[in-house]
Amino acid sequence: MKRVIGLLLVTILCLAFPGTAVATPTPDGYLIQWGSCSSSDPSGSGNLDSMDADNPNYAERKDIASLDCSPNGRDLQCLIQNGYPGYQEYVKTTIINVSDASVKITALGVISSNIPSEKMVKVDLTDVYGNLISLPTYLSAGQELGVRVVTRVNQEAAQGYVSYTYQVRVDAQQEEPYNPPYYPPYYPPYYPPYYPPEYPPYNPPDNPESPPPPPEPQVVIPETVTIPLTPAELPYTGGNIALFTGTAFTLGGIGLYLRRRK
Amino acid sequence: MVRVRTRRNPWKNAGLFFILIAVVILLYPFFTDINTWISQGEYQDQLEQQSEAADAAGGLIMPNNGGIAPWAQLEIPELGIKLVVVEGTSKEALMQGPGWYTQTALPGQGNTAIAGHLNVYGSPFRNINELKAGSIIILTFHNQSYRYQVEQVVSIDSDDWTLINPCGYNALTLTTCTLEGKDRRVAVRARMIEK
Repeated sequence: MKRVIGLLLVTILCLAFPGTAVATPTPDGYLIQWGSCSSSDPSGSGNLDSMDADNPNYAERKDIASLDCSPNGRDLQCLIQNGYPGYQEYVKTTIINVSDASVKITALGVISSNIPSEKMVKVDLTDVYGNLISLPTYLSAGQELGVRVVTRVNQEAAQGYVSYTYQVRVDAQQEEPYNPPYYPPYYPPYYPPYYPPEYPPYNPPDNPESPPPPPEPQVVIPETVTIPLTPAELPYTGGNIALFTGTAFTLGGIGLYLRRRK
Repeated sequence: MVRVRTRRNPWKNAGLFFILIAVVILLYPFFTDINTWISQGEYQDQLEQQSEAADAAGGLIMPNNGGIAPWAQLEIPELGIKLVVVEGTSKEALMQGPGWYTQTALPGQGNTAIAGHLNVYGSPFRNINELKAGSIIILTFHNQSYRYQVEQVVSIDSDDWTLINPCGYNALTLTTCTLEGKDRRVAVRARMIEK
């Protein structure tokens, strides 16, 4: 029994150190949450409906439709009431990293709705400047990302006042803290100021009619010589006298020896 | 009368044969010298005739007949040398005397190079390694004498043509073999000082 307890303790201790590097999710199990929502045309506000620029009924602005969104776990639940073609509103909200480590937002989009066709209602998720959010996006611990949920009822939607619902979901996972590469400050190269060379003033000759004598032509010796490209040896102009002498004396010695032989 | 027949010893005949061969070999260099001396005499006459003919023709250069022909006269007073230079550096040409490298310039037009034997065929350049800087060499070509002054005497490789190549001024280069080995040559470079 003691061995089992000891093994468990060792296991727990082993997991304890890396456990500190794991992002701690919220009690409901999410690393991120949606922040508070602020609709441009919430229900009951009395705000006049906004119309998209292409809407031919722009002049007939009234307070008919409304757009409301509210967080629901990792989803954002949105509702368009009395939507009609040309109705366009948006909801400002945030995505908050509620964990204690950096997270990476891997997915962001509409997951379900009662909208029959994407052509009928278009939902764009942009940042606060109106740019589509590119994925993945990194959020450090506690960081918030401003999001606009822009909703537009297209002309393909049903003519009349129809309510639409849809859910926007955001998925995130733990990510190592993003350490941007270090770029050293740029120091432009130093170019010293340009000082033009000083040329002495031109003094024309006293007698310009008589030009200066031309320089003496250099004597160039024209050599029309053709040297072999792959020269062989210089001609052999020797003759080994020692070899002649040695050979002669050797043969002479042999001859004398044979002459004296009986 | 009884004839006593003496028995000849064949070994003595063989010995005599060897001795004769040895004498021929020993004298071979002298034979070559004699051949060259004879040729030099003939070429000297031809050269004088060419000079006279050239003078008669208004200084025109006489055409070569295609064979080994005398080309110029080389004189090195310090060594007591006065030889006829033939045209070409083939083996046959050099048997007749010093030979002009036909690929080099004519006298007064660049670097003129001449090769000569060291110790056979008259041994024309036997002692050119004794020349010193300042020694005078006279080359007479078409009745025109060119005086050269020795600048350097160097030992070069047998395949080193740098001294034969154009050098940028009027020069005379003499080459011959050396006892250092078959792959070495001696070269004398002289600069023209007077025409």
